Amino acid sequence: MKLVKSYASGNLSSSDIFETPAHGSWQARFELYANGLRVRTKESMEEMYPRLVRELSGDDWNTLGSDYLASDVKWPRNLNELGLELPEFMAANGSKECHIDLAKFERDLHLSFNAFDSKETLSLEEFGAIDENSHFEFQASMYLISSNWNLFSHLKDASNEWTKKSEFGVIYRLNFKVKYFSISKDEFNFLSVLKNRNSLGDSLNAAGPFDPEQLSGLLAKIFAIKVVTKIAAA
Amino acid sequence: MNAGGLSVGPPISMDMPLVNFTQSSNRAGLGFRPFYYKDIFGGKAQEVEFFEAITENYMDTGGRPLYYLEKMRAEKPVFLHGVSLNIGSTDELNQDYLRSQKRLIDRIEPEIVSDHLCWTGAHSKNFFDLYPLPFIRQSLDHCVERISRIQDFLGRRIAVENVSSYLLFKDNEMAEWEFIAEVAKGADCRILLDINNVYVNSVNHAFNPQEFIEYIPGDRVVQYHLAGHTDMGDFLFDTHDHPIVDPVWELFSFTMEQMGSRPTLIERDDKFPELEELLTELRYVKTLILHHTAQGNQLVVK
Repeated sequence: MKLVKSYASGNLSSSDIFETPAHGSWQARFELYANGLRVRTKESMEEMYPRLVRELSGDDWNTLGSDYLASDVKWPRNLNELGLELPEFMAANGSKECHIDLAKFERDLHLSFNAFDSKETLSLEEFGAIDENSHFEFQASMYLISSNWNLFSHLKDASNEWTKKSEFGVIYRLNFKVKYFSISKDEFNFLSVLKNRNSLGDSLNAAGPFDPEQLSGLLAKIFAIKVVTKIAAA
Repeated sequence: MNAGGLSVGPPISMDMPLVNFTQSSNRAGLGFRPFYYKDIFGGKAQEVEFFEAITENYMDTGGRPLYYLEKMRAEKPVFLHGVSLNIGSTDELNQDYLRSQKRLIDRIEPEIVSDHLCWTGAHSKNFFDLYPLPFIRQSLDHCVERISRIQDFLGRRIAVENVSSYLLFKDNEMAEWEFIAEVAKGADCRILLDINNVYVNSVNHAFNPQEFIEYIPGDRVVQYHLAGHTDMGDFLFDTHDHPIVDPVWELFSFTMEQMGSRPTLIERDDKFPELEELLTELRYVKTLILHHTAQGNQLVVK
């Protein structure tokens, strides 16, 4: 402890702490640890945000990454989770909205991949008539996303310029593969409320007037991707 | 439990002998890495007698990685090897980590649970590296106390591994091998002896690696690690991205002469070669083990 205090107060240099090695300098060896940390954190962040990396220039990405790591961000036990707070950091530090949404999307893909899902899923055939008081439970790997930008068309083709346009989507995991598809604003509102443990009837009301055909089409799709794990009566 | 025709005993609990003589010490295994999943589940790794998985890679995921680990566990023994238990840190033991680790242990029923005798983070930040400890009485007592608490929580003994290091503290009061032996004795834990790390440190810190091995209490050693490293000119860097070098093979043989064979793992974590290249090394491990066993050196307890 005495050493730590002396070092912190500037009265001690690293050479007072470490033995002079048998070969070479302690600085070169110290750098090995420092560089290892830089490389590992950079690789981990780039693995979670490959599209964002491509979107930003090399310098912008490097600055964003190092600023993020130098902030008060959580350094979790798992290196793969180091970048989880990046979207919030970007929002607090003036990044472009479209880039923040892209980061959120990539984080949700990561979370979906690693989510602990139930082994039990329900098919639409098992519930011919779903009561409006029913509550749905969904797989942990299902995420709903919304953006005020043309996120999905940009994801489809990065040459599409970012433009203001509300887009919504569902991220899900099926057979260990993470996929997504876009939905309408009404469908997004409906699913958001339903996912929040509200009844089917309340969810429909929250979404506003809902075309019955559209609803049955959405439900068919939701059951087909096996994200519904339970339906409970009120 | 019977896994793929191999006799697999129950997890070793606190009241069992340090070395479980009912389990085969002659086994050779590989790290369970995603790069090799296709080959492994494609039937190309039948001769691998056990796999070792990185604990943290399966603690926080419920998707494909855990599915593959459970699939493997149904076929062969699995050991869990952690990198973030942070045994030597001055931070409080991370209860959340321990709970997740225990859940995974209960799910996988690994034969051996291990982590490193080092620190990996401080001030609630994990730095994803294995940093050296000062070999002083204070840190020794600290590690003993923490390992004891970890073992109490998990309800089983863990094995602690000697790490590679590039710096030594001026305040060291004892040699690394004395520190490890004392920690293992004090905490009543087991030792995962990494032969490559012993060799790397012997070059980096200019000591005789055989002296290290001779001092380690064999009755606490439950597993060996072998790996390659990178020669940086002035020192060796433990990279796990090269084939095992001759001096490490020789030290492995010397170790078996001293304390007998143990389940031996080849670690490869980067620049992954074709599986066949690792299997060639694995066969050599097996040949050396059987050679030593034939000479009556199996499970010699010093």
